[in-house]
Amino acid sequence: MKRNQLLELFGKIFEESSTEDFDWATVKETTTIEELGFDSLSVLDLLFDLEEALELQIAAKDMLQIGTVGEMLDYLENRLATS
Amino acid sequence: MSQTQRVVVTGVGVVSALGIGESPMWENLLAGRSGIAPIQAFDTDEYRVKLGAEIDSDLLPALAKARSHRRTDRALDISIEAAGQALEQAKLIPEGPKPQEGYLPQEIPVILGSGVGPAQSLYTAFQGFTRKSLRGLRPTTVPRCMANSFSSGISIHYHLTGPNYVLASACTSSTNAIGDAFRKVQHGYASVVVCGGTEAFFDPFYYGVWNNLGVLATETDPTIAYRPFDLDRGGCLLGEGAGILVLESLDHARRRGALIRGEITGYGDSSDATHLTSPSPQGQARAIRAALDCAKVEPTDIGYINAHGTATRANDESESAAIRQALGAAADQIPVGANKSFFGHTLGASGAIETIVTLLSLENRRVPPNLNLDRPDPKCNLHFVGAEPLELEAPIAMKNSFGFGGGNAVLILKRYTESSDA
Repeated sequence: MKRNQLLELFGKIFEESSTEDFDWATVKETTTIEELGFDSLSVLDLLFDLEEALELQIAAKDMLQIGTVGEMLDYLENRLATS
Repeated sequence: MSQTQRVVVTGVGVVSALGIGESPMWENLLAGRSGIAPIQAFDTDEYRVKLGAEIDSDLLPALAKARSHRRTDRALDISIEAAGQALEQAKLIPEGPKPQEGYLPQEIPVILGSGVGPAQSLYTAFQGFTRKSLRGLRPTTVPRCMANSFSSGISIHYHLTGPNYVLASACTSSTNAIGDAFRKVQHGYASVVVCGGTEAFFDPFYYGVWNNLGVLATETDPTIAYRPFDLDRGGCLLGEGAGILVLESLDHARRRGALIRGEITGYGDSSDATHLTSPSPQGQARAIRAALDCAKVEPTDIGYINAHGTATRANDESESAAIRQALGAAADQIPVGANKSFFGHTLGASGAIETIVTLLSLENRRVPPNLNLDRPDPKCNLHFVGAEPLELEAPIAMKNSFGFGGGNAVLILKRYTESSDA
């Protein structure tokens, strides 16, 4: 899956679960996960949704270390490339 | 704390099959428009029961977004919305979206009732586990499935720092919650309490267990299926909804200049202690008498009864007998209404939603009609509201709730007027 497709998938999950006023159209790779409204609990749901969509297993400790959208895409690209 | 406080209602919020907020609900009630319809949430081909009263799911994402609330369990989502309406109306939070910095903390308890709990989350968890074993369980399953997720969700979202808890007593749950809140304010343990109930359980599993219980109506025409107290009633139909009230001491409300919607003057509760599902008129009558005693009113003071009225054979007969036992000959004159033919039976939320209807009835001096009560059952020997709205000048009304497990709860409500403002 290409990086822009991963971003699109992330956006879809965000739109379905978030109520933040954040406009996804303005998202950048430097946007933080916190700015998207995820906290230490809700990020676990994000992890679950990504696992479901990508058929990956993602360790919670990895997810909790990801700070920005760009880091998330890096992580997912690496995981998909090696899986 | 030695002197008891008068308890008034300064905010109400409701989400139901009749719409979002009290206005569409009230308009639909007076117009005789029911929320009962063919179930949309799942395929009912294999179910004996085809009807229910669902909230329009298309509206919920926008509501959650407007409250800046991350969607979790449907019953929590609708209770957050209803609580927001009630708190805004009580002017305890600003209108509109949640402030960027969040709400200021307020030491207000949150007491909710729910008979079922977070059904959607439980069903999702069951499905995930069945499909993928442990890997199918969302990490947030525990907080999503907690029975107290509703009260804690409201507490956290609106920054209400009083105690929060959920009462579970089947169909009596939210009336117990309002009663508990009433006592807290009456005896000075809190000046303001957020209370009410919520239920949302339209999934193949939970509806299935009710389908198999044999107390739901199997009639497929939604216009005639739900008929409380009617000779041809065939059982109840389920509904989903949330009703939230802000209760407040009169002194506190007046100091704030809050709009007072009505007064709660009495609460009585009891248990049948006889059977898990068969109601006892004696047990129910004890709750009614206790509520009258608490409010210091006589049966002849009651001007309207908002009945539990589930339309099961057992409930309607038992409730009628209980009203007769407790009120005696006064019952000949008191109009009795049942709202579940509009909302469906919203189980643990029904008491709160119907208490709000009773408050609006007193406030607007009009009682919604009874739907489908064409031939009152002679075994239900009461004076029923007819097919048209009824004028209501009397200032005092009673709300009954009775539940599986033998729990009974009754509230006495009063129209608030300046002249009664002693």
